[in-house]
Order: sequence, then structure tokens, then C-alpha cells
Amino acid sequence: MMSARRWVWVLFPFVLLTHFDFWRVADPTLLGGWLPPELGWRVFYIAVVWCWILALCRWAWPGEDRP
Amino acid sequence: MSAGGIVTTLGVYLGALLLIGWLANRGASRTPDEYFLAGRKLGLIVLFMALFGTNATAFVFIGVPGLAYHDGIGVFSANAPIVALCTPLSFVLIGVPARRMAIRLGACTPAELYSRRFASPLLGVLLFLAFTIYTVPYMVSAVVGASLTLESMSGGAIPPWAGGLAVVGVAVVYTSLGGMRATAWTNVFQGVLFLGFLLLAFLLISSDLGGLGQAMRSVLEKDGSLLALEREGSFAFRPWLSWSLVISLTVIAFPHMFVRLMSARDESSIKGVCRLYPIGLLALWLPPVLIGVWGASEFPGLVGKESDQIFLSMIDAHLPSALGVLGMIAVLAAVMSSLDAMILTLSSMLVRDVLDPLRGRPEADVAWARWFCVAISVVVYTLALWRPASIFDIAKVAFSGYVTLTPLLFLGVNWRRMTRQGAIASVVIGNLVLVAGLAGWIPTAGFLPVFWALLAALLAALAVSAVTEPGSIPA
Repeated sequence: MMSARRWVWVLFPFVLLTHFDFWRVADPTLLGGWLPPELGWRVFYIAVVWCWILALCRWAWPGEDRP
Repeated sequence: MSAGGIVTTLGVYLGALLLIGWLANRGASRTPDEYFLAGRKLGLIVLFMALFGTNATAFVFIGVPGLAYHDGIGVFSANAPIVALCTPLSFVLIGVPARRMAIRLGACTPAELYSRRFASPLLGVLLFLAFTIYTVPYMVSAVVGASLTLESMSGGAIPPWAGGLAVVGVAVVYTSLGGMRATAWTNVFQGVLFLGFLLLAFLLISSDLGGLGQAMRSVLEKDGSLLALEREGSFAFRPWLSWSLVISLTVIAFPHMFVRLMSARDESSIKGVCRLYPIGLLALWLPPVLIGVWGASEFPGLVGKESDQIFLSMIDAHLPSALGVLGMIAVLAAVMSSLDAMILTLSSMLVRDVLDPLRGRPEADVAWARWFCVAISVVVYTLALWRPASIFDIAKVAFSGYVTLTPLLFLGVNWRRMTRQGAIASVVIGNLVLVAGLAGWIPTAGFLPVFWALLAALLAALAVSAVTEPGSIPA
């Protein structure tokens, strides 16, 4: 099983790539008739960020919490 | 709702804040640690709401929907995800070591922390000046925004002078009475109010528009570009990179945010805040952006700053009038939850970073801080009435100004080799480059001036520290 530290390093380039996503082209349609792809992409991005933050916290505070 | 009803609702809200402030003050000791930092005992929920409430301003209700009206969903794309990433990261990389060092050095303010870390009163004064220059205009803009919103939503029943007086007056009473504990507790109440209203408005407006799908289809039919991100203008690479730096680094450099992290009970609370922050930001950014985008389809043709009224127009059009009043309270809650923190932080810096070094000893700090709270509020209220144009020019670049301080904030608590000369050079050179960039004296090659200012501040810190002798870090 991957350690929290490894998750942080593996996910970090992915997170940056998701932010600097200049390869994507504007797509003014609606996924499922209601979701703009741009919005879906960014919400997915925040979900990835959240996972990254969870891994970062686990790495920064392993085991017992510091007082 | 009638003018009398609006004034009554406003009175109940402000009365509740005073009550919470009074309750927070009961039984609390009068030590500087207790007054400025709530005894360093803010637990997870209060710490999160204090940080989140302070972070969110009326910009969420006025500026964000107004920007989304013109630029569409790209406003969400350019801000929410990168803030969700970098704000918790900066809490871990800067907030946590800064809190540890502040406890060790007995520091109550960010300027005091770095001044003691480098044994340099000059650095403390420089940081105090920088924080004050960028924070006061920010406070004035907040009060002006709140008073204009009150005037607009009350149909002129509450003139700007009265609205501003109510906002500043109540904030200063509970802040000066109860210090950090009062501002933190009121922030919980205010955060629940404005976040709850945002989500409620989002649900009710989308439902009134025929559901999420129908609302999006209406926008698509009228102007599909609002639902996509065109990589041009402010979304092209260089402005995108520059803005990403500004919006992601500025939060930790707000002195009123920094000092709240110093008030955490333990690192477990900060860890919990980091985990909650991305979710909170999603809830904070998504509704106002979508309401602004939907407003563009429903109220087309607004030009420039006219779109700042779009959130209020959508509330008027889709929510019952009683809830419209709640919207007014929500805007006030967002303003006051930041304003109180800024008043307290500036007053604590005046006492700890200016007055105490001048007197050579700390004495009656809390009493002085209370008077300074009042004095700062009087200055802010006067400037809000006067509205000098230069104040708003500074407020526009305040975020960039804060960002120039982040190399010092980070390196100062993480790099033992950093010297006081490097710290001072970082602050001075970073801000000089920012001013030169904003004035057009140096080429910026398509980046925002803050990009070069940040780079200059970082290089100055590294280069000057490398060629000067580090002092010992005080025990």
C-alpha cells in the first residue's frame, strides 16, 4: 500500500497539470443536459485536490496529533 | 418588506452579535494572550469558521457574481480550485511552523513573530507598515460596499452614513470588548448565516428557473461562451499563472488570517481546518458564480460595474421578500466577519509592534488595544464617508501587496539560514518592484506586476541571506 508521502508526490504533478490545462479546448455543451464540461472538470479538480490535502495531512501529522 | 421591518431585522442581527461578543467576554482573563489570541485555544469548529468567515468578504456576494456575469464559469475555474489547493498547503507550510515559533517566542502578532525571530525591531515596523497600508484600504472598501448594499436593499431607507456607522460601530463594540474570542464566536454565527444563505439562494433560484438543467440550457441558448473557458484575455497563460500566484498565496499573508492560525488550540485543529477548507471553498464559490452566470441570461446588457448588482437583482426576482432581507444580513455577516478580525489585528499590531517597543516594556496592552480598536474604526469610518479615490486604488492591489510578503513568511519560519538583512531586503525590494510594475516603470512581459514582485522578494531573501551572517534564533 502506498504511503501518504508517496501519494502526495504522485498526485502533485497531476494536480498542477489539472490547473494548467491549456491543452483543453472550450466546449460550450452540457453533459447529461445540465453540466457544463468546464464546471465538471473543475469540480473534479477540487475532488483531486481534496484527496491530495488528505494525503498531505496524513504525511504531515503521522500517528498521534501534536499538541 | 417595509423599511421598519428591514431596520428591525437589522437591529436583531446586530443585537445578536453584541450578545455573542458580551458572552465571549464573560469570565475571560485580561492577559494579552487571552485578548489577542483567545488564549491560543481555538478548537476545530471555531477555528475553521473564524478562518473561513474572515476569508470570505462581501466580494463573494457582489464582486464574484458581477465578474461571472461577464466572464462566465471561468471565474470559478480561475479561483476556487487553486485556492482550495494552496490555502490548506500554506496553512501546513507556513501556519504550522509559525504557530510553533510564536508559542516559543511568546509572539502575539505576525510582525512581532518575525521581529523576534530575527531580533529586528526594524523588520517589525516594516511589516506593521506593509500590513497596515494594505489592510486599511481593504477595510474601507468593505465598509463602503456594505453601506451601499444596505442603502440599495432598503430602498434608500438606510443611508450610507447610517449603514456604515451601524456596521463599524457594532463590530468595534464586540471586538474591543471580547478580543479574539468575541470575533471568533461571532464568526461562527456569521459564517453559518452567509454560507447558509448562499446555499439556500442557490437552491431556490435554480428551482425557480426550472431546475439546474433548464437554467444552464437558457444560458447556453443566449451565450454559450459563459459556460466554457476561452483561453484568452485574463485566462491566457501569463495572466492565468500570475493570478494563480496572487489568489493562492495572498490568504496566508492576510495578517488577520495568519493571527488566527496562531490562535489554534493544537495542530489537530489546523489539520481539521485543512481537510474542511476545499469543501468550504466549493460551497462558497459555486453558488455566486452560477447565480452571476444565470443572471447574465436573465438580465442581459449590464455594463461594467452595473453587474455588481446582479446577485441582489436575482434575489429580488426569485426569492420572497423576507428572504431578501436575509440576503442583506448575509452580506453584512460576510463584511463584518472580516472587518472585526482586521480591526483586532491592526490594534494588536499597534500595541505589540509599535507602542511596546517605544515604551520599552509591555504594560496595559489590552486597555491600549481597546482604545486602538476604537481609533482604527473611527479612521476607517471617516475614510468610508470621504471615499478618496487613492484608497480604492490601493485596495485593488492589496492582494498583490500581501503576496510580496510570502517569501519572508515562509522562509522566516522554515529556513534557519535566513538573515535579518535578507528578511528586510525581501520586504523592501518586493514592494518596490510591485510599485514599479504597477506604475509601468518596468516591462512585465504579459505577466501581472505581482509575478515579478514575488520573484524579486524571493531572490532578495535568498541572495542577501546567502551573503550575510545569520544570527541565532532566540530560544
